[in-house]
Amino acid sequence: MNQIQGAHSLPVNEEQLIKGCLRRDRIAQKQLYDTFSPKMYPLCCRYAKDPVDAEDILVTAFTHILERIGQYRGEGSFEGWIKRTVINEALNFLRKKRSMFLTTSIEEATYEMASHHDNDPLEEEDLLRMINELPPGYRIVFNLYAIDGFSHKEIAGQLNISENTSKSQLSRARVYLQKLLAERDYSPKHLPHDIAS
Amino acid sequence: MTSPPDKLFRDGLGQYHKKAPPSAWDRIENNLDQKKNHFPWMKIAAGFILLIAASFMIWKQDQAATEVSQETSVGSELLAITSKQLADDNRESSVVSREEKVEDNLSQIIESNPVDATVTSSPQSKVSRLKSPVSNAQAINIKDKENTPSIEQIEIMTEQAPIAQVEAGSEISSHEIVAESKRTHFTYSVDEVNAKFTKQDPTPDATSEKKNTSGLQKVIDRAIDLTREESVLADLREKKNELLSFTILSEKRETNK
Repeated sequence: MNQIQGAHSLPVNEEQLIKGCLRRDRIAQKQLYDTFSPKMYPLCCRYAKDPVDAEDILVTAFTHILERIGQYRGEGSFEGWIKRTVINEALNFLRKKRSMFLTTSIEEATYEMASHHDNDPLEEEDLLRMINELPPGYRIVFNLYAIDGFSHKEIAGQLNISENTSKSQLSRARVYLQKLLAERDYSPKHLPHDIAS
Repeated sequence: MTSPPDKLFRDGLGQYHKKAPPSAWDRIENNLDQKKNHFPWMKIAAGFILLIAASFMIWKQDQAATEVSQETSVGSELLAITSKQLADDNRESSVVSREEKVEDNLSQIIESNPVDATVTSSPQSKVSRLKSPVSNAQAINIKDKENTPSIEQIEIMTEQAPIAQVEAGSEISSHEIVAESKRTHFTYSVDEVNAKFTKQDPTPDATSEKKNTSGLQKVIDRAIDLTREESVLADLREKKNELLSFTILSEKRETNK
Protein backbone atom coordinates (compact mmCIF):
# COMPACT_ATOMS: atom_id res chain seq x y z
CA MET A 1 0.00 0.00 0.00
CA ASN A 2 1.16 3.47 -0.74
CA GLN A 3 1.81 5.00 2.65
CA ILE A 4 1.92 8.51 1.30
CA GLN A 5 -1.70 9.11 0.51
CA GLY A 6 -2.66 12.16 -1.41
CA ALA A 7 -4.45 13.48 -4.44
CA HIS A 8 -1.82 11.99 -6.73
CA SER A 9 -0.44 8.51 -6.67
CA LEU A 10 3.29 8.64 -6.83
CA PRO A 11 5.39 6.62 -9.21
CA VAL A 12 6.87 3.59 -7.53
CA ASN A 13 10.42 4.89 -7.79
CA GLU A 14 9.42 8.24 -6.28
CA GLU A 15 7.63 6.55 -3.42
CA GLN A 16 10.66 4.42 -2.65
CA LEU A 17 12.82 7.50 -2.89
CA ILE A 18 10.73 9.38 -0.35
CA LYS A 19 10.66 6.45 2.03
CA GLY A 20 14.42 6.22 1.85
CA CYS A 21 14.79 9.92 2.55
CA LEU A 22 12.44 9.60 5.51
CA ARG A 23 14.81 6.97 6.90
CA ARG A 24 17.67 9.43 6.40
CA ASP A 25 19.24 7.02 3.92
CA ARG A 26 22.13 8.92 2.31
CA ILE A 27 21.93 6.96 -0.93
CA ALA A 28 18.25 7.81 -1.32
CA GLN A 29 18.96 11.43 -0.48
CA LYS A 30 21.68 11.60 -3.12
CA GLN A 31 19.42 9.98 -5.64
CA LEU A 32 16.68 12.51 -4.97
CA TYR A 33 19.15 15.34 -5.40
CA ASP A 34 20.47 13.91 -8.65
CA THR A 35 16.93 13.48 -9.96
CA PHE A 36 15.67 16.97 -9.33
CA SER A 37 18.70 19.27 -9.08
CA PRO A 38 19.26 19.54 -12.88
CA LYS A 39 15.80 21.14 -13.16
CA MET A 40 16.08 23.24 -10.05
CA TYR A 41 19.53 24.67 -10.64
CA PRO A 42 18.46 26.61 -13.80
CA LEU A 43 15.49 27.88 -11.84
CA CYS A 44 17.88 29.24 -9.23
CA CYS A 45 19.94 30.80 -12.00
CA ARG A 46 16.85 32.60 -13.28
CA TYR A 47 16.17 34.22 -9.93
CA ALA A 48 19.75 34.96 -8.89
CA LYS A 49 21.88 36.83 -11.34
CA ASP A 50 25.12 35.64 -9.77
CA PRO A 51 25.92 31.90 -10.24
CA VAL A 52 27.38 31.80 -6.75
CA ASP A 53 24.08 33.03 -5.35
CA ALA A 54 22.25 30.45 -7.46
CA GLU A 55 24.33 27.67 -5.89
CA ASP A 56 23.65 29.02 -2.41
CA ILE A 57 19.94 28.96 -3.08
CA LEU A 58 20.13 25.40 -4.40
CA VAL A 59 22.10 24.15 -1.38
CA THR A 60 19.77 25.77 1.14
CA ALA A 61 16.68 24.56 -0.68
CA PHE A 62 17.75 20.93 -0.93
CA THR A 63 18.97 20.88 2.65
CA HIS A 64 15.50 21.92 3.70
CA ILE A 65 13.86 19.47 1.34
CA LEU A 66 15.85 16.53 2.67
CA GLU A 67 15.36 17.58 6.27
CA ARG A 68 11.66 18.30 5.99
CA ILE A 69 10.62 15.66 3.52
CA GLY A 70 8.10 14.44 6.04
CA GLN A 71 6.13 17.61 5.42
CA TYR A 72 5.15 16.42 1.96
CA ARG A 73 1.65 15.04 2.46
CA GLY A 74 1.04 13.90 -1.08
CA GLU A 75 -0.96 16.97 -2.00
CA GLY A 76 0.04 17.83 -5.55
CA SER A 77 3.01 16.43 -7.41
CA PHE A 78 6.24 15.79 -5.60
CA GLU A 79 8.15 17.80 -8.19
CA GLY A 80 5.74 20.68 -7.71
CA TRP A 81 6.40 20.56 -3.95
CA ILE A 82 10.14 20.64 -4.55
CA LYS A 83 9.78 23.49 -7.04
CA ARG A 84 7.74 25.61 -4.65
CA THR A 85 10.32 24.99 -1.92
CA VAL A 86 13.15 26.12 -4.18
CA ILE A 87 11.27 29.25 -5.29
CA ASN A 88 10.52 30.17 -1.68
CA GLU A 89 14.17 29.79 -0.80
CA ALA A 90 15.10 31.96 -3.79
CA LEU A 91 12.75 34.70 -2.69
CA ASN A 92 14.00 34.49 0.89
CA PHE A 93 17.55 34.76 -0.33
CA LEU A 94 16.81 37.79 -2.46
CA ARG A 95 14.82 39.36 0.34
CA LYS A 96 17.75 39.02 2.70
CA LYS A 97 20.08 40.35 0.09
CA ARG A 98 17.69 43.22 -0.47
CA SER A 99 17.65 42.51 -4.17
CA MET A 100 13.93 42.65 -4.51
CA PHE A 101 13.50 46.33 -5.05
CA LEU A 102 11.06 46.95 -7.78
CA THR A 103 11.97 49.33 -10.55
CA THR A 104 9.26 51.81 -11.15
CA SER A 105 10.10 52.94 -14.61
CA ILE A 106 11.81 51.34 -17.48
CA GLU A 107 14.07 54.32 -17.92
CA GLU A 108 15.75 53.46 -14.62
CA ALA A 109 16.65 50.04 -15.83
CA THR A 110 19.94 49.63 -17.53
CA TYR A 111 20.73 46.82 -19.78
CA GLU A 112 23.62 45.60 -21.70
CA MET A 113 23.65 44.99 -25.35
CA ALA A 114 23.49 41.37 -26.22
CA SER A 115 26.84 39.99 -27.14
CA HIS A 116 25.45 38.25 -30.18
CA HIS A 117 24.14 40.26 -33.05
CA ASP A 118 23.95 37.61 -35.67
CA ASN A 119 21.34 35.03 -36.33
CA ASP A 120 22.72 32.35 -34.10
CA PRO A 121 19.99 30.21 -32.62
CA LEU A 122 18.77 31.28 -29.33
CA GLU A 123 19.79 28.78 -26.81
CA GLU A 124 18.67 28.34 -23.37
CA GLU A 125 21.73 30.09 -22.06
CA ASP A 126 20.93 33.11 -24.18
CA LEU A 127 17.44 33.28 -22.79
CA LEU A 128 18.84 32.86 -19.33
CA ARG A 129 21.27 35.64 -19.95
CA MET A 130 18.46 37.95 -21.09
CA ILE A 131 16.46 37.13 -18.00
CA ASN A 132 19.47 37.99 -15.84
CA GLU A 133 19.78 41.31 -17.54
CA LEU A 134 16.42 42.37 -16.22
CA PRO A 135 16.31 44.53 -13.09
CA PRO A 136 15.60 42.45 -10.01
CA GLY A 137 11.96 43.42 -9.64
CA TYR A 138 11.16 42.76 -13.31
CA ARG A 139 13.07 39.52 -13.26
CA ILE A 140 11.29 38.12 -10.24
CA VAL A 141 7.80 38.98 -11.43
CA PHE A 142 8.47 37.75 -14.94
CA ASN A 143 9.89 34.47 -13.64
CA LEU A 144 6.98 33.93 -11.29
CA TYR A 145 4.30 34.75 -13.78
CA ALA A 146 5.60 33.87 -17.21
CA ILE A 147 7.74 30.82 -16.50
CA ASP A 148 6.64 29.38 -13.14
CA GLY A 149 2.92 29.97 -13.58
CA PHE A 150 1.93 32.03 -10.54
CA SER A 151 -1.02 34.40 -10.70
CA HIS A 152 -0.75 38.08 -9.96
CA LYS A 153 -2.66 37.51 -6.75
CA GLU A 154 -0.17 34.90 -5.61
CA ILE A 155 2.74 37.09 -6.66
CA ALA A 156 1.29 40.01 -4.73
CA GLY A 157 1.02 37.83 -1.65
CA GLN A 158 4.54 36.50 -2.02
CA LEU A 159 6.18 39.86 -2.59
CA ASN A 160 3.87 41.88 -0.41
CA ILE A 161 2.83 44.14 -3.23
CA SER A 162 -0.45 44.94 -4.89
CA GLU A 163 -1.72 43.07 -7.89
CA ASN A 164 -1.50 46.23 -9.98
CA THR A 165 2.15 46.58 -9.10
CA SER A 166 2.73 42.99 -10.11
CA LYS A 167 1.02 43.64 -13.44
CA SER A 168 2.99 46.77 -14.11
CA GLN A 169 6.25 45.05 -13.29
CA LEU A 170 5.40 42.24 -15.65
CA SER A 171 4.52 44.67 -18.38
CA ARG A 172 7.79 46.45 -18.02
CA ALA A 173 9.70 43.21 -18.01
CA ARG A 174 8.11 42.20 -21.27
CA VAL A 175 9.02 45.48 -22.89
CA TYR A 176 12.55 45.13 -21.69
CA LEU A 177 12.91 41.59 -23.00
CA GLN A 178 11.43 42.55 -26.33
CA LYS A 179 14.02 45.23 -26.69
CA LEU A 180 16.72 42.70 -25.91
CA LEU A 181 15.29 40.26 -28.36
CA ALA A 182 15.07 42.95 -30.99
CA GLU A 183 18.64 43.87 -30.49
CA ARG A 184 19.43 40.22 -30.73
CA ASP A 185 17.62 40.26 -34.00
CA TYR A 186 15.36 37.50 -32.69
CA SER A 187 13.65 35.23 -35.11
CA PRO A 188 11.46 32.28 -34.05
CA LYS A 189 13.10 30.01 -36.54
CA HIS A 190 16.34 30.39 -34.71
CA LEU A 191 15.08 28.75 -31.56
CA PRO A 192 16.28 25.23 -30.88
CA HIS A 193 12.69 24.13 -30.27
CA ASP A 194 9.89 24.29 -32.69
CA ILE A 195 7.95 27.05 -30.99
CA ALA A 196 4.95 28.64 -32.57
CA SER A 197 4.82 32.33 -31.89
CA MET B 1 7.29 41.92 -32.33
CA THR B 2 4.16 42.64 -30.48
CA SER B 3 3.41 39.33 -28.86
CA PRO B 4 4.64 38.99 -25.35
CA PRO B 5 7.80 36.95 -24.97
CA ASP B 6 6.28 34.84 -22.20
CA LYS B 7 5.85 31.74 -24.25
CA LEU B 8 9.30 32.02 -25.71
CA PHE B 9 10.98 32.11 -22.36
CA ARG B 10 8.62 29.59 -20.80
CA ASP B 11 9.20 27.05 -23.46
CA GLY B 12 12.89 27.75 -23.64
CA LEU B 13 13.62 27.77 -19.94
CA GLY B 14 10.72 25.84 -18.40
CA GLN B 15 12.29 22.45 -19.09
CA TYR B 16 15.87 23.58 -19.12
CA HIS B 17 18.19 21.08 -17.44
CA LYS B 18 21.53 22.16 -16.16
CA LYS B 19 23.82 20.25 -13.87
CA ALA B 20 24.75 21.98 -10.64
CA PRO B 21 28.38 22.35 -9.58
CA PRO B 22 29.73 19.29 -7.66
CA SER B 23 30.43 21.45 -4.65
CA ALA B 24 26.69 21.92 -4.16
CA TRP B 25 26.09 18.32 -3.08
CA ASP B 26 29.13 18.37 -0.79
CA ARG B 27 27.72 21.37 1.01
CA ILE B 28 24.31 19.76 1.29
CA GLU B 29 25.86 16.61 2.70
CA ASN B 30 27.79 18.61 5.28
CA ASN B 31 24.66 20.42 6.32
CA LEU B 32 22.82 17.14 6.76
CA ASP B 33 25.65 15.65 8.81
CA GLN B 34 25.86 18.69 11.06
CA LYS B 35 22.17 18.72 11.75
CA LYS B 36 22.21 14.99 12.34
CA ASN B 37 24.91 15.35 15.01
CA HIS B 38 23.51 18.41 16.69
CA PHE B 39 20.06 17.07 17.45
CA PRO B 40 21.05 14.39 19.96
CA TRP B 41 23.11 16.87 21.90
CA MET B 42 20.28 19.34 22.02
CA LYS B 43 17.87 16.67 23.15
CA ILE B 44 20.27 15.43 25.79
CA ALA B 45 20.90 18.95 27.04
CA ALA B 46 17.20 19.71 27.15
CA GLY B 47 16.50 16.49 29.00
CA PHE B 48 19.26 17.21 31.48
CA ILE B 49 17.94 20.68 32.17
CA LEU B 50 14.45 19.32 32.74
CA LEU B 51 15.83 16.70 35.09
CA ILE B 52 17.68 19.29 37.13
CA ALA B 53 14.62 21.52 37.32
CA ALA B 54 12.40 18.64 38.42
CA SER B 55 14.93 17.49 41.03
CA PHE B 56 15.21 21.01 42.39
CA MET B 57 11.47 21.31 42.77
CA ILE B 58 11.19 17.96 44.49
CA TRP B 59 14.07 18.84 46.80
CA LYS B 60 12.38 22.10 47.74
CA GLN B 61 9.18 20.32 48.60
CA ASP B 62 11.04 17.73 50.63
CA GLN B 63 12.88 20.42 52.49
CA ALA B 64 9.67 22.13 53.50
CA ALA B 65 8.12 18.84 54.55
CA THR B 66 11.26 17.88 56.47
CA GLU B 67 11.21 21.07 58.47
CA VAL B 68 7.65 20.45 59.52
CA SER B 69 8.31 16.85 60.40
CA GLN B 70 11.43 17.78 62.36
CA GLU B 71 9.56 20.27 64.46
CA THR B 72 6.78 17.85 65.18
CA SER B 73 9.20 15.02 65.87
CA VAL B 74 11.13 17.15 68.33
CA GLY B 75 7.95 18.01 70.09
CA SER B 76 6.75 14.45 70.13
CA GLU B 77 10.11 13.24 71.37
CA LEU B 78 10.07 15.73 74.16
CA LEU B 79 6.56 14.76 75.02
CA ALA B 80 7.59 11.14 75.15
CA ILE B 81 10.53 11.94 77.36
CA THR B 82 8.52 14.02 79.74
CA SER B 83 5.70 11.55 80.00
CA LYS B 84 8.17 8.82 80.68
CA GLN B 85 9.82 10.80 83.37
CA LEU B 86 6.57 11.58 85.01
CA ALA B 87 5.44 7.99 84.96
CA ASP B 88 8.62 6.79 86.58
CA ASP B 89 8.35 6.95 90.40
CA ASN B 90 12.06 6.74 90.89
CA ARG B 91 12.63 9.69 88.71
CA GLU B 92 12.30 13.28 89.67
CA SER B 93 9.06 14.53 91.04
CA SER B 94 7.64 17.08 88.78
CA VAL B 95 6.09 20.05 90.30
CA VAL B 96 4.09 22.82 88.88
CA SER B 97 5.57 25.44 86.65
CA ARG B 98 3.58 27.81 88.73
CA GLU B 99 5.96 27.50 91.57
CA GLU B 100 4.83 30.83 92.81
CA LYS B 101 1.42 29.43 93.65
CA VAL B 102 3.01 26.51 95.36
CA GLU B 103 5.27 28.77 97.24
CA ASP B 104 2.40 30.97 98.25
CA ASN B 105 0.31 28.07 99.36
CA LEU B 106 3.08 26.54 101.29
CA SER B 107 3.97 29.86 102.67
CA GLN B 108 0.43 30.26 103.83
CA ILE B 109 0.54 26.90 105.38
CA ILE B 110 3.74 27.70 107.09
CA GLU B 111 2.48 31.01 108.25
CA SER B 112 -0.49 29.37 109.79
CA ASN B 113 1.92 27.39 111.82
CA PRO B 114 4.51 29.16 113.80
CA VAL B 115 7.49 27.67 112.20
CA ASP B 116 10.43 29.23 110.86
CA ALA B 117 10.79 27.93 107.44
CA THR B 118 11.59 29.21 104.12
CA VAL B 119 10.62 27.98 100.83
CA THR B 120 12.92 28.68 98.11
CA SER B 121 13.09 27.75 94.55
CA SER B 122 15.73 28.45 92.14
CA PRO B 123 14.95 28.83 88.53
CA GLN B 124 18.53 28.24 87.71
CA SER B 125 18.52 24.99 89.54
CA LYS B 126 15.35 24.05 87.81
CA VAL B 127 16.92 24.48 84.44
CA SER B 128 19.95 22.53 85.38
CA ARG B 129 17.88 19.72 86.76
CA LEU B 130 15.84 19.59 83.66
CA LYS B 131 18.91 18.86 81.70
CA SER B 132 19.88 16.06 84.00
CA PRO B 133 16.95 14.39 85.63
CA VAL B 134 17.14 14.01 89.30
CA SER B 135 16.94 10.53 90.57
CA ASN B 136 15.58 11.17 93.97
CA ALA B 137 12.77 13.39 94.98
CA GLN B 138 13.49 15.60 97.82
CA ALA B 139 11.35 15.42 100.84
CA ILE B 140 10.09 18.64 102.05
CA ASN B 141 11.12 19.12 105.61
CA ILE B 142 10.13 22.15 107.44
CA LYS B 143 11.14 22.34 110.96
CA ASP B 144 10.82 25.04 113.40
CA LYS B 145 13.55 26.75 115.13
CA GLU B 146 13.33 24.89 118.27
CA ASN B 147 13.73 21.44 117.09
CA THR B 148 15.79 21.72 114.09
CA PRO B 149 17.56 24.80 113.10
CA SER B 150 18.24 23.47 109.69
CA ILE B 151 15.78 24.23 107.10
CA GLU B 152 15.98 22.38 103.92
CA GLN B 153 15.04 23.81 100.68
CA ILE B 154 12.04 22.72 98.91
CA GLU B 155 13.27 21.66 95.58
CA ILE B 156 10.77 22.54 93.06
CA MET B 157 11.07 21.06 89.59
CA THR B 158 9.58 22.71 86.59
CA GLU B 159 7.16 20.70 84.73
CA GLN B 160 8.23 19.58 81.27
CA ALA B 161 4.79 18.98 79.89
CA PRO B 162 1.41 20.38 80.58
CA ILE B 163 0.33 16.96 81.66
CA ALA B 164 1.35 17.50 85.19
CA GLN B 165 0.48 20.72 86.80
CA VAL B 166 0.30 21.60 90.38
CA GLU B 167 -2.79 22.67 91.92
CA ALA B 168 -1.50 23.17 95.30
CA GLY B 169 -4.26 25.33 96.38
CA SER B 170 -6.88 22.72 95.81
CA GLU B 171 -4.89 19.75 96.77
CA ILE B 172 -3.38 20.91 99.91
CA SER B 173 -5.85 21.08 102.64
CA SER B 174 -5.20 22.38 106.00
CA HIS B 175 -6.27 19.26 107.73
CA GLU B 176 -3.45 17.40 106.14
CA ILE B 177 -1.00 19.69 107.69
CA VAL B 178 -1.50 19.33 111.28
CA ALA B 179 0.54 21.12 113.71
CA GLU B 180 0.70 18.73 116.51
CA SER B 181 2.82 21.00 118.41
CA LYS B 182 4.90 23.97 117.97
CA ARG B 183 7.30 21.81 116.27
CA THR B 184 5.65 21.29 112.97
CA HIS B 185 7.18 18.78 110.74
CA PHE B 186 6.01 18.37 107.22
CA THR B 187 7.32 15.44 105.36
CA TYR B 188 6.11 14.51 101.95
CA SER B 189 7.08 11.46 100.13
CA VAL B 190 7.34 11.23 96.38
CA ASP B 191 3.95 9.66 96.05
CA GLU B 192 2.40 12.31 98.17
CA VAL B 193 4.02 15.05 96.25
CA ASN B 194 2.86 13.49 93.02
CA ALA B 195 -0.60 13.01 94.41
CA LYS B 196 -0.86 16.41 95.94
CA PHE B 197 1.05 18.50 93.57
CA THR B 198 0.57 16.62 90.37
CA LYS B 199 -2.56 16.59 88.34
CA GLN B 200 -2.91 13.84 85.77
CA ASP B 201 -5.59 15.46 83.73
CA PRO B 202 -4.94 19.06 83.71
CA THR B 203 -7.54 21.40 82.52
CA PRO B 204 -6.51 23.43 79.56
CA ASP B 205 -5.48 26.98 80.02
CA ALA B 206 -8.17 29.51 80.09
CA THR B 207 -6.25 31.72 77.76
CA SER B 208 -3.78 31.10 75.05
CA GLU B 209 -1.27 33.39 76.62
CA LYS B 210 2.12 31.95 76.70
CA LYS B 211 3.58 31.35 80.08
CA ASN B 212 6.79 32.84 81.14
CA THR B 213 8.72 29.66 80.75
CA SER B 214 12.20 28.62 79.85
CA GLY B 215 13.43 28.17 76.32
CA LEU B 216 12.95 24.43 76.36
CA GLN B 217 9.44 24.82 77.65
CA LYS B 218 8.72 27.15 74.81
CA VAL B 219 9.98 24.62 72.32
CA ILE B 220 7.79 21.96 73.88
CA ASP B 221 4.81 24.22 73.80
CA ARG B 222 5.49 25.02 70.19
CA ALA B 223 5.75 21.35 69.31
CA ILE B 224 2.45 20.67 71.00
CA ASP B 225 0.91 23.52 69.09
CA LEU B 226 2.23 22.11 65.86
CA THR B 227 0.74 18.73 66.54
CA ARG B 228 -2.58 20.29 67.27
CA GLU B 229 -2.51 22.80 64.52
CA GLU B 230 -3.42 21.73 61.07
CA SER B 231 -1.02 23.97 59.29
CA VAL B 232 2.47 25.05 60.02
CA LEU B 233 1.42 28.49 59.01
CA ALA B 234 -0.87 28.87 61.99
CA ASP B 235 1.75 30.90 63.78
CA LEU B 236 2.11 33.20 60.84
CA ARG B 237 -1.62 33.41 60.49
CA GLU B 238 -1.92 34.37 64.13
CA LYS B 239 0.67 37.07 63.72
CA LYS B 240 -1.07 38.34 60.65
CA ASN B 241 -4.36 38.53 62.45
CA GLU B 242 -2.74 40.41 65.29
CA LEU B 243 -1.21 42.83 62.85
CA LEU B 244 -4.48 43.33 61.02
CA SER B 245 -6.39 43.88 64.24
CA PHE B 246 -3.79 46.41 65.28
CA THR B 247 -4.05 48.12 61.92
CA ILE B 248 -7.83 48.24 62.08
CA LEU B 249 -7.71 49.60 65.58
CA SER B 250 -5.28 52.31 64.62
CA GLU B 251 -7.44 53.23 61.63
CA LYS B 252 -10.49 53.45 63.82
CA ARG B 253 -8.70 55.73 66.18
CA GLU B 254 -7.73 57.97 63.33
CA THR B 255 -11.27 58.11 61.99
CA ASN B 256 -12.65 58.86 65.42
CA LYS B 257 -10.29 61.77 65.68
